[in-house]
Amino acid sequence: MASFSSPLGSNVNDLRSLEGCLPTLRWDASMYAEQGNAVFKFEDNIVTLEGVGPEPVLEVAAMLDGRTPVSTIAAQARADERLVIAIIRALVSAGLVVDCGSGHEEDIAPDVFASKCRHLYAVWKNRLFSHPLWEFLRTGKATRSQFVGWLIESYHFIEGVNDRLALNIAECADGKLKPLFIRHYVEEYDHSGFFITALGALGYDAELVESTRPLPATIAVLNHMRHCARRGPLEYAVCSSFLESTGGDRTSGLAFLGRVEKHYTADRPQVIKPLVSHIRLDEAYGHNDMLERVCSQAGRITRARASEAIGLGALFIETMELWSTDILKAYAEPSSFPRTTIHKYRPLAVDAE
Amino acid sequence: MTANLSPASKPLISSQLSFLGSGDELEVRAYDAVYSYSDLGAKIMMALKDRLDGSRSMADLADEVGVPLEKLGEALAVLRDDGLIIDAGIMDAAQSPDEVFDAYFSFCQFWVKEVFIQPFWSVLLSGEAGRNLVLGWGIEFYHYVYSVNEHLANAVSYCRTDKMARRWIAQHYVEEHDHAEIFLEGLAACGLDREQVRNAPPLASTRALINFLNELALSDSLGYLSAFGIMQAPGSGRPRGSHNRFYDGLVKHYGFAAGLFEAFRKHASIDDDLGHDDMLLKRLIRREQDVPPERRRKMMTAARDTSEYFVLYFEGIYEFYTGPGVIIPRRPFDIRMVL
Repeated sequence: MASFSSPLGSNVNDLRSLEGCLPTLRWDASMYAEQGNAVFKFEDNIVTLEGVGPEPVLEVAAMLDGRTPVSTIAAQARADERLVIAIIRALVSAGLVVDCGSGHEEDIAPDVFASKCRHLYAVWKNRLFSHPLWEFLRTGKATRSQFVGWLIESYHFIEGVNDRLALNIAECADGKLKPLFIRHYVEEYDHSGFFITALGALGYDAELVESTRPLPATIAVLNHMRHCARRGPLEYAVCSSFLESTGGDRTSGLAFLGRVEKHYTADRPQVIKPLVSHIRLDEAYGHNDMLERVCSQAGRITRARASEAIGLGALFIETMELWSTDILKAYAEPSSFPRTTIHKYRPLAVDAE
Repeated sequence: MTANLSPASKPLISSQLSFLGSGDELEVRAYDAVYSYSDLGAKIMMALKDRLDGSRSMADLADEVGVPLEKLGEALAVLRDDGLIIDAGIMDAAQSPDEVFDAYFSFCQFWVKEVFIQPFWSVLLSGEAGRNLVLGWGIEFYHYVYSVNEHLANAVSYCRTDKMARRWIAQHYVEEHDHAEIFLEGLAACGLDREQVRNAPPLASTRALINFLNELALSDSLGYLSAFGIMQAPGSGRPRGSHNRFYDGLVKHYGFAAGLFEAFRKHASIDDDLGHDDMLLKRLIRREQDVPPERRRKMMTAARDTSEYFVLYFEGIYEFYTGPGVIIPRRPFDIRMVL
């Protein structure tokens, strides 16, 4: 977590104009007042603006939407334009605000697009795997029913490749991209078998597992990817590639499974073994560079489309968090399992934290 | 819903209940009530705890637990009266299409309770919700109402073999297509920027509900129209115009959101005038001599799934908009921010 302060007060007399500037605040920023200052958070950063009370800073920041000129912001906020300019400059230098008014090309090069996704994936993975579900599984704090629930929902999730990737192939009209997705599907379509094997070793037979109703958030993940597939192959690839592990992720993934095994299946090594095999098989297929392969065939990407595709990726991460929360809550009680009828969902008032 | 439990009834208990205690004293806790049992009542309820799953008849339960049927009925009566127990056998027992619809709608009323025990509602009604939560609800509701231009439009375009049903759905869509404007107007009256609201990404839980409705609409008309029972259940049977008192109360608590509540009020009045509580599903199944078991299952599953997505929807609103540092409306991603 990087934390830094910006001495706003010293900039107030900087009268250089911001004519033509259309400032916009980062989509992932949060902001609040703390100890007399305005504080902003984004990614792993905390930025404190010092020297001016928090109210005008927060008011101005809320108006930075990439469409409104600085003079209009000052007028609407009934603030001195010099102060507004100083606030915006401080936020720009902190990386919280960019000028949408000028200096940006209309198109994005595919390699630039892919590299921006890679940067965001790292931030998003860190965020997702900090969710209590993953923390609880890693430390053994998750209950046994939450562990089994996670395995069952993971089975539905992986089986869902037939809901999402098959639709993506059907919807893909780009003759250069389609073969990439077909190959990916052929290599992945039956990987839910690894989870059937794992659950079988735990004492849950395939018939029972297949008869369970997936949680709504499990279906939500798959439906989001179906939504993306209908929007286009790039939109789909941004979400799909997040799921494919790279070298570092694989190491962490294997370490995670090792800890899960220690906490929940130390006496049954056959449970985790298929999940390790799954990770290794994906590695052998080289699915980790799918995004780069799709981008290399995509040509230049319009700014609007690039923004929409990554925006859908950001929403995908939120959906994955929703999934994680739903598993924790729905499987909090042993009686929640198995979800084979429409009469079971969550027990009363269970807090995921 | 409140009909007596007969020997053939299969009581199903709401998943929102929890049991505390053992032996001679037992509390059955709902979100907003506690039911105390003692002596024989406590023993009966403890024995029934894991058996009220809708698969056993009252007569079978009486045998299993070893108590007279009458005593069993007495123990369950209060929960049944409060809508926390339903006879799971009513759908199978239904004969005519109207009975099938009534059974389906009873389940909708049973399941929708899970939506209204979400913390969002108790905080809202207590008058203690913050500005972000109230307006955040308005924004997510705007997205949901606007989404008729996805799911209702899909429902029309994928209803390709039943022209009459398609006309009904199309008429409903035409009547609903611009209702989101009412909420946009209301949010603007609260000081929010229209474009910011339009461009705000919905929460993942809101998008999950919309995507679910889309997929239902793409699959088949019966399932899709069955989702509406959950949306209609809360207001069913209320006198026309009765929503006014509810919104008056909210305006008293949250004067800053008067414009939004006016939009809710206006929308409710329009729906009253359009008769949107007259469900298309009822019209659809009334054309059938008999509703086959497979179609009954489809209706029930769609309604149940819908209730689960509404749980996620309100949970998502509550958890996000009560979080620290939230900026409303949410900002869309723009790649220029990371170049």
